[in-house]
Amino acid sequence: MKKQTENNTKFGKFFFSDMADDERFEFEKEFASKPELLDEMRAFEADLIEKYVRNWMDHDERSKFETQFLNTKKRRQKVEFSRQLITELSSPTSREVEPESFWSKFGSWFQTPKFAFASAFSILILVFGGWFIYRAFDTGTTEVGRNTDRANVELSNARTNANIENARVNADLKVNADPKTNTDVLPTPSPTSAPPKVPETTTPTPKVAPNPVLALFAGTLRSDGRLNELDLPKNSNGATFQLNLKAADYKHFQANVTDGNGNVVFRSGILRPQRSTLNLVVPAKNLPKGDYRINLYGKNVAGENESAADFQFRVN
Amino acid sequence: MLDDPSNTDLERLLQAFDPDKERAAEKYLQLRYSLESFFEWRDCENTEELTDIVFDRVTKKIFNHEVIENIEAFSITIAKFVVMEHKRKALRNVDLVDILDPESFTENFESEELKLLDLDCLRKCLAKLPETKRKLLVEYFDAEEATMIPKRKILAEQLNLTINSLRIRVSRLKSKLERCTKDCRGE
Repeated sequence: MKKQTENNTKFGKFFFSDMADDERFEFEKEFASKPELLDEMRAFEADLIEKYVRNWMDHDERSKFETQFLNTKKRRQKVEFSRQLITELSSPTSREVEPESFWSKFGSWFQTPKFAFASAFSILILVFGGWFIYRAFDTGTTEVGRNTDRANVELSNARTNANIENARVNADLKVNADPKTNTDVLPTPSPTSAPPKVPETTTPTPKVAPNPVLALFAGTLRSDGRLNELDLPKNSNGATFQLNLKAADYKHFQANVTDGNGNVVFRSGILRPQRSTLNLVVPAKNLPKGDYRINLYGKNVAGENESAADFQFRVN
Repeated sequence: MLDDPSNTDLERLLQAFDPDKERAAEKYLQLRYSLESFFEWRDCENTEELTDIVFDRVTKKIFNHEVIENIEAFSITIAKFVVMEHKRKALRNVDLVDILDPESFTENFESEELKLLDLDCLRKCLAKLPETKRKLLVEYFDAEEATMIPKRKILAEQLNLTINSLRIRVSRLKSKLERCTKDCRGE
C-alpha cells in the first residue's frame, strides 16, 4: 500500500512535469525494463483522464491537467475517447448487459431448436387429433358422438391451455426483452389473441440536408477568374471539399481553414490522399458566409508540417 | 527506419533480447510498447516512427558488435537523443504549430461526422468484446465520485483481484478498445 502511494506520487510528478530531468530519465529507464510499472502508469493516466472527463478535478488540478497533460494531439484524442466510452457505457443500450435472469434463461429455452421441434410436434398432434375427432363426429353414431363431445371438450381445453402457454411464452420473451417488466403481469389469454407486440423504439432522425461537395484545385481562382463558391444549406451538417493536388507528395496531410481575417476556424485531423485527391469535411457551424482559405500541409518523415497547397472559396 | 530487415538481421536483433526466440519476441514487443509510451509522454506525436528510428540505431550498434548489456536502458538512452533531435526539427516549424486551448481544439479537431464514425466504431468494438469484459467496463465506470472507491473495491473483491489489479485490467481493456476503434477508422 505504501509502495502504491509512493508510486502514485511519482506518477503525479511525472505526468505533470514536476520531475527533474535526471530523475525523469532514470524513471523512464526503470519503466522500460519493468512492464508491471508501465502498466501501473497507464492505469494512473487512465484515472487522471477519467477524473478530468467526469469533472472530478478541482480548478487547480484541472488547469494543470490542461496545460501540462493535454498538450499533444494523442492525449487529447485519448481524452475524447474516454469521454465517448464513459458516455456510451452509461447509455441504456450498454446497460442492457445485465446478469442473465432466470426468466431470460427460461425465455431463451423457448428459442432453442428443441423447443421448435416440440412445438412442431404438438401442432401435428393437434391437427391429426382434430382431424380424427372431426371424422369420428361426422359418422353420426351416438357412442362416437358422446366420445367426440368429450374429445371436443378436451381439445378445447387443450387449445385454451396451448394459448395460455403461448401467452406465457410471449410474456416471458417480453420479459427477456425488458428485464424491468413485472413478471406477475401476464396478458389475458384469449383464443384469438395475437402475440403481444414489443414496443418498438425508434430514434427520430432529424432531417438533414446532404453535405454539399465542392471540388477545389491547387491555386486560388476558377478558370473564369471567379472565386469557387459554395452554397451551404442551413440544415446541412457541413461541407465536403474535394482537394485536388498536382501530385500527392506526402502520405499524410493536415488542413487548416482560415477565414477572411486570417483566423483558423477549423483544423482537420490527419488526411490521407486517394491518388492525388483529399476529402476534407468541415462542420457547417465553422463556415458562416464569407471568404475562406484552406492551407494544406504535408507531414514529413519527422511528423512535421510542410506547406503543400492553398485553396480559396466563398460560402454563400 | 528498418528497411526490410532480412531474417538474419531481425534474428540478431532479437538475440540481443533473449536467446529463446519466443521470449525475445515478447521482450521486443514489450520494449516497443515502452518506447512508444516514452515518446508519447515526451510529447511526441509520431511515436511509432520514432520507435522505428530507435530500433534502427540499436540494430546498427549490434551489427557493429557493440556490447549491449541492458537493451532496455540502452534503447531509452537512444530514444532520449531521438527526442532531442525531433524537438529541434519541430522548433524550425514552430510557425505551423498553432497553440490552441484544449477545449477549442477538441471542438474543432474532429468534425461531427468523424465523431459519429468514432461512436459507431466504438459500438462495434464494444460489441466484439466478450460479455464478461463488457460487463466489467459497465460496472467499473458506473460510479459517482463519492461512491467510486468503495464500489470498485467491491467489484475487485468479487473478481478476486486487488483494486490495483482491477485498475490495470480496465486500463488494458480501454487501450484495446481504443486500438480497435482506431483500426475501425482506418488509422
